Amino acid sequence: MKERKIYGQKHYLTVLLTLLVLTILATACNTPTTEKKTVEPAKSDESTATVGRCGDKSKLSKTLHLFNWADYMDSEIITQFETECGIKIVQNIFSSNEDMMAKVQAGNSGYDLIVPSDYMVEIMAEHGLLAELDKTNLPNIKNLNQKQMGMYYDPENKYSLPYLWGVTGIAYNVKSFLNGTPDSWAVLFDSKQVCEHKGFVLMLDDERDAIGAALKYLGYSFNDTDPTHHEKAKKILLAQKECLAGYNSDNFHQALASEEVVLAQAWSGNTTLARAENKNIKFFIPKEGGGIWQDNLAIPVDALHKYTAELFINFLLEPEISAKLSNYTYYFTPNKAAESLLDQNFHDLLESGGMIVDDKIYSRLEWIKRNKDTIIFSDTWTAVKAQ
Amino acid sequence: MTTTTSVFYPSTAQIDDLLLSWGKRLLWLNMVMSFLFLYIPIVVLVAFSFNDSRLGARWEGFTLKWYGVMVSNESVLNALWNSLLVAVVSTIIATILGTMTALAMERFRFPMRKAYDGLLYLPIIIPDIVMGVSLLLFFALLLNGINTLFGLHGENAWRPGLGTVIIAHVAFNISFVTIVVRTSLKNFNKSLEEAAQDLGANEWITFRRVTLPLIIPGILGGALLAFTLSLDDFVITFFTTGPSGITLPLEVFGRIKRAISPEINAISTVMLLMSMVLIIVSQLVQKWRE
Amino acid sequence: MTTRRKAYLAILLSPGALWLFVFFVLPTLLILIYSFLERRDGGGVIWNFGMAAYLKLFSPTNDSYINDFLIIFLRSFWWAFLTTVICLLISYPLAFYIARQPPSTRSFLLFLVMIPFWTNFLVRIYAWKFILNNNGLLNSILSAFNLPRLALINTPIAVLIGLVYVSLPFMVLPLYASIGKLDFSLIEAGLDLGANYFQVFRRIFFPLTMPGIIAGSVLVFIPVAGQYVVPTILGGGKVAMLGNILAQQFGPDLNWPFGSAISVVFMILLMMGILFYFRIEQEEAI
Repeated sequence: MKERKIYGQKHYLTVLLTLLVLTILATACNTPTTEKKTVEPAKSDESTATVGRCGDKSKLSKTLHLFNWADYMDSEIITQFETECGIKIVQNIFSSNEDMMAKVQAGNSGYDLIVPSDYMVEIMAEHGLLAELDKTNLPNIKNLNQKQMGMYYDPENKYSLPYLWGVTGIAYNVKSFLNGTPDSWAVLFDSKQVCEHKGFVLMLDDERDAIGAALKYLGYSFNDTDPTHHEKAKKILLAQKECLAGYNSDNFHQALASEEVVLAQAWSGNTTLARAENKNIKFFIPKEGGGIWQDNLAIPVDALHKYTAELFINFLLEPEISAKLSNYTYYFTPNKAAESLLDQNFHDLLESGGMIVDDKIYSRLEWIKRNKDTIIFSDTWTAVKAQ
Repeated sequence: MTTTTSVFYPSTAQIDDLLLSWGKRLLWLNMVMSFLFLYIPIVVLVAFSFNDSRLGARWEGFTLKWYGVMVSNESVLNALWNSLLVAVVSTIIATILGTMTALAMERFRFPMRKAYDGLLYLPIIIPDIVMGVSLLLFFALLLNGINTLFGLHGENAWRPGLGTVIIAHVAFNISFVTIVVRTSLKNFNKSLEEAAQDLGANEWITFRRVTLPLIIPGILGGALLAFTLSLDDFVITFFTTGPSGITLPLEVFGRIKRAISPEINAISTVMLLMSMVLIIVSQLVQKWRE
Repeated sequence: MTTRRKAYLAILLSPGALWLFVFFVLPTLLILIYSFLERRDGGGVIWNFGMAAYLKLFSPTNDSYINDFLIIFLRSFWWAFLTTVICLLISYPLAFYIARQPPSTRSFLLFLVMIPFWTNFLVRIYAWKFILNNNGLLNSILSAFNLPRLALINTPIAVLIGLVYVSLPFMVLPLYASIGKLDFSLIEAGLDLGANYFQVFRRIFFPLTMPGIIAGSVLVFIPVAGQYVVPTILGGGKVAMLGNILAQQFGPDLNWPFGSAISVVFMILLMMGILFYFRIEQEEAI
């Protein structure tokens, strides 16, 4: 009995000690953000531009809560804004438009600035979740490319301004395509062609992208909701699945770069990232057509710091800041004035990798849209994934 | 009771000798293989914290720069702190409440006991995402109610944050602790407790001196489980937290999308090292106390 | 029950019960209600009560009249079952070994089991991916010794390795909790009375550790049945698990009523399973 009792206490001690010291250690190496006062603004007499960029100081908040996609912001931009204007930016990450909307829709989320994709701007605006932008605080709108403005989801850019955009096509490793460069979705959907690379092919793990591509291959629209067309697409996808390594929309660029796979349905930005590591990776928009998407800056209707958010949007639309963002993320900037400021290295990667979108390619691109009928994609996807 | 049996029957040492003949080697082998299985990925993870590659897809050479990046990254340290805070607080609350619940369930008969027994399993059964979404809706309603009631708005309004995360973690951890503690209360030799009470000890003394030492393996197991679950939870935390309450899994998730950044491996390595050191220290303290 | 005992019961039971009622039962009731509502296009629900979500779940979903959701349910449960059995086979002897060590070694080993789980879940799974990849660590080692490469990644074996890996401590802890408090003199008694090791295990040890086995199985089976990150990362995401379907409904499809209905059915099925399991346990005990 006695021995047991002692051993019990020892266990106690171990757990308590561990937990306590862990906590203490963590406290020791951490400076709580609350104690850290907001970053001191740089002296305003440096340049007149700086004063303008920070707007009316009396209306500014101390912090700004940004809700963004993963790895979608250069931390240098944040640091620059923090030092210039003395505003602390707290960035949170979401992994899907729908997760982000769920939190904003619940209300009182505390976010001041969000980055919804095209179709999500439409949904959120419809549900009254977005605040109207005050254009007088956004003089840098003039820098934006008209081609990326006034899209179907927000025709007058009342609620949103473009942040970054990209295209969906196919990435491949030239070493596996020595006999000729592919130019069609057939390389992914013709079962003979795709099975030449059995076990080394990836598709995007997204019902709209994967099924949409199959529809495109069949000569239909990305947004086709005809059940007979979906039946055909399902058959193609099931046949294709036999030869796939898998579905991946998270880090397929890593699989490409390390040559785990040689062919993948891909976004332009991630492909550029892969190409930066492995020069054998190239990209193309299939002749049948590819996808286009655009992420946007918007302010939730219940944002606490709307003025500060608008100021930050305006800051992001500065040509050199937009260029910096594009250089970091490898996605395309909607900022016309920023185009000439892009890194030569980035431009070379795009040029040599086939990621340049000229007017001819642009005309082949299609937006993925949602309406009440597109729920059919869910059932097709379940059928593909069930077997 | 134990003392009487050991007079007539072989000691534990003799049993060990018997087992040694065939079982002990296999047991030992199983133990070694299990720990290899558990630690091989950990070794890989640690090795890659020294990898000089941004994408981390293959070995590019040795570097210590990720540790520098990590230390200078305020948001990572802040997330680490938040995670430990949530894990420690929710573990303590859940372990106390869970142990109390386990005692009530095993030692008492009361109306609706069977139904409550079933209910206790629900937080384990419910898929993460469903619990996350339901809590998101619930906290939105609750906080909205509180804010309206007290006329709080703007900066002063209550909103989701670490508090709601801790509440949510306790809600799923109570059940985990209860289940583990109950296993140690089952097949429990009640004669010891009865003997103690016969000798005039009250319930509290009996609990502290007799019951508690015997069920400590269960409580320890439950607490470890709760701590681990809380430290690693992503989905429920995502749906219940607010802008300022970022935990390490959320931070890691944000960094893993583009690449499995070696910086994350560096954080994991430091956490591993910290816990290793702590355990060794506490072992030494024990030895010293003896 | 004396008033005194009633008071003890109330003190023990009420804090936990209250917490669970407010922060678990009430939110879950919202999900139950949602499962009977109608999907609103573009997120949220329309407050029209109906059974549409359940009808969708139970009606045939393809031309051969096989229900896709049934296939996915069965697959998830099958994976969970396999994982539970493997975890049990590894963990039982492991927990036994740990329980037979001197007290200080015991807690040390127990912590050693847990420490890997204090690193991030995703990081651990990606470490496995790195090991099992076509050009991964394992294959590099194999080819260095001129051995044939193994195509493990994106196969069920890789998924199983990952699932066992993330579940192991959930089996070890409850097993340890029940083996750790065993009175080993019972075994001595059994052996002394002429029983062999197998009989001692079957008749004494196994029944006495049954609560641990049950708790461990429940803690492994249930999370694995809802798990989808491991199959996605290590299995290539080629087949859907229950968790995928749920994430899809609450995510891209914005079909909360349907997601709620799936989870309600899932919870009812598992609850029935657990109750059935306990019935067996009680019969075994008698």
